[in-house]
Amino acid sequence: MSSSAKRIKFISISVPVLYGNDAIRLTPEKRKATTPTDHTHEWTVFFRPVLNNIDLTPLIKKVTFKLHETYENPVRSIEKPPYQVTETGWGEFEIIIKIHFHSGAELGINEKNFQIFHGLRLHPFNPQHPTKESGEVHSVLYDELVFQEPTERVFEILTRKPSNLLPYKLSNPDKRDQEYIRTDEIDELARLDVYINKVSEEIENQRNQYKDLEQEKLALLQ
Amino acid sequence: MSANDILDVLNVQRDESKQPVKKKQKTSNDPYGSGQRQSGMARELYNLLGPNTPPVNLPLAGTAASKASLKLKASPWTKMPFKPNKHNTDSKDVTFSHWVKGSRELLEQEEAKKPYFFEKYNVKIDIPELVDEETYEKFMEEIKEREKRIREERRQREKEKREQEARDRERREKEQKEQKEAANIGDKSDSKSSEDEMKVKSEDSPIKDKKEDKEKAESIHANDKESYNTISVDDSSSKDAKDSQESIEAAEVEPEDWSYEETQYLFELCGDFELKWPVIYDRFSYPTHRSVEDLKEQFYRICIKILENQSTSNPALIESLSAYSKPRELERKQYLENLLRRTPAEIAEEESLVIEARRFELAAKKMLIERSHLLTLLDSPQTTQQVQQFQSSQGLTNLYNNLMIIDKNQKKRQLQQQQKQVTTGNQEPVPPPIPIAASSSFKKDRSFQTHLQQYLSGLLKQSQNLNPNVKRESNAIQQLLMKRLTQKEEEAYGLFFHGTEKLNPGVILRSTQKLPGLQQKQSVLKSVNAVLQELDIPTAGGTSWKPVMPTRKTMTKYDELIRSVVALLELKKGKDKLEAEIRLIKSQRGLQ
Repeated sequence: MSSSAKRIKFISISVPVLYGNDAIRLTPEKRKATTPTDHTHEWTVFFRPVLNNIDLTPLIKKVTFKLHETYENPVRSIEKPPYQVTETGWGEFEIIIKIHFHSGAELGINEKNFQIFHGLRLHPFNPQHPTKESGEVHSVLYDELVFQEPTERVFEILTRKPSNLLPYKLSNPDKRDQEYIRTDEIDELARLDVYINKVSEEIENQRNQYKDLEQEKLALLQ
Repeated sequence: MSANDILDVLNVQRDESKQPVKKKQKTSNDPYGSGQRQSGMARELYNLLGPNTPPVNLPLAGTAASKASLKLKASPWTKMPFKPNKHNTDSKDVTFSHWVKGSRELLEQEEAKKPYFFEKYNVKIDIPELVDEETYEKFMEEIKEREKRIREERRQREKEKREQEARDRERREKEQKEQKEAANIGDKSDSKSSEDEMKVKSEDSPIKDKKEDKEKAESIHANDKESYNTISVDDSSSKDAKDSQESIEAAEVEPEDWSYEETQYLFELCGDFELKWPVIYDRFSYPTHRSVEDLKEQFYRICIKILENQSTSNPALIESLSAYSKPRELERKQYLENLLRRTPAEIAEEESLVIEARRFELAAKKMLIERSHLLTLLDSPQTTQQVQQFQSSQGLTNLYNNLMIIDKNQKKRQLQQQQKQVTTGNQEPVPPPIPIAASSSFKKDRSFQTHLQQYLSGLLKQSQNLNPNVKRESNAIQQLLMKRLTQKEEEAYGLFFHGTEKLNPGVILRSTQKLPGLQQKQSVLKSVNAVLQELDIPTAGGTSWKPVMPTRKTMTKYDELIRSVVALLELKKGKDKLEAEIRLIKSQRGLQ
């Protein structure tokens, strides 16, 4: 299998993933006997591929979530999907999501473990933003795992199914803040185009000013 | 010297505490006890064992057996006289003696019946006896006559060949001439007269040709005669011929005649050395110089003559004798010599050529197999029945089943063929299946390949060239190539071909991708953000603003944006500088 550990040069292959947390205020009913009294929220931190039918287990051995040190067993290791940890708490802190790839030369994956930092959010980003009645907070981030120069083995695993087929529609209109769809990318691209146009207009503007100034300077020197 | 002495010499320390115990054991184990001590060399050897127990139970049997055997009576040996050639009355009647086991009385009885033991190895080969001088001369005449005839015939054949060639050449020349003339005639207006001329010419030429031929033949004949007489002429005439041929021709020239005495001498040698030609050649010392081939030739042809004139001759033997041909033998030896004298470089070249040839053969075989596979694929079942009966659904299922059976049979046949090839121990490797990406048919079908696919297929071919043993079936690259994706579909797989851009192997997050636009100082990035804010571009307030949805496309756009902002900053800096200069100039002017 040493041949499958060979890296394919000049190629990258990406898998869109979502990571982040959901949080909800603890209601008296939800509290358990073991729940500390000062905890105000129940939250779930997670890491998952955007598409549900994508299976990353051939690649990923486990995902560890490093919580704040005040938690019992701050490093939670999840061996199987869904990779998520549900806890209660009162404060926001940074969670380190660490992805452990299968090791072993004979497997041919040969990737280092990979960290993602996620700031746990319990409160809405924006107080003006109409928060949901239930007080739910979703901090879901889109990103892509990019395997640069993947080994042939990784290539094989990731080309089993197309993993980048983002949906064009939300599965549920209420989940606007939990899902990313293809139109988001298109919108963002359009937005960026607008910005670039703005900047290039400004560049044109500045260039003209610069030329004027140059002529003024020449006039002054003569 | 005992074992302890040796141990002392070798500086080997023994565990003193254990030694006495072992010694005791040894003595108790001693099968012969103290009374039966060994003596002489045996004892010395035994002492060398030291405290070790002997590896085998040393037997005293040797001495005992010898003692026992001594008691037996010695077997009698007798010096017996014998005659080596008891049945050959010709040889001198000599008597030798040798020692034979057994008593004299017994042996004398036996000897009367038995022949001499080694008599059976005294075998003489059957060589026909040489005839007297008169018949020999007659034979030689006949032989010479026949050989001359053969030579004449051969010469005749060669001459004819040469004549044929000459005729061909002339005809060709004539044709060319005619063509030229025809062209000339085309220029001239009066074609009739030229035609007549042609006729005259064409009638004339055969006669001329014949005459020429005759002349030529005569001259050749003369040449031959000359060469027949002397060696030197022959040598000079065949100078342009190849070396081997030259030697053969030289040999063909009549050698010195064999006298009766010489032939007799030869026959004697043949009898003495039992037709071992190298030995005969070595011993043959006669004033005339003869090669092995000469000796053989003379011997065989005389033998043939003798046998032919005998009443009870074996035709098969005569035939095998007459199969000997001196020129051919010389040629064979020449070849062998050449073979022996090859340089290592030539040998290597030859070997490589052989290997190459073998490879060609294999390739041809492979192609044939492939073709046969193709043909079996193309082999379609013939329609022998009316189409109507397949138009009902039942007829259709019948047809389908039939087709399935035929298909299965074909597959089975193919399998069997393959198995046969395997089981018969056929060393020819069964050609491996051609990978689809590498086969020519794939290339033909391919109408368009994205950069990625071109790159990947190139990579695949390379790796296969490097290592043809790589399993092909499960190659992911190949499978992907087989899907023949479009650019859009490649995106769906998240695949991207970076061209010659340098990548750091490993996993990264798209949002932390190292973009060229972000390879700036922190201060520059800060001012970039400031500019963005100036332009009403939301940056979420921070310095690390990134697209919300970092995909490859958004990130490249983002990179473009950052870079254009950096360019804008540069421009602004330049403008500010210019403004400052103008201000400076103005202030200077103002002062003046």
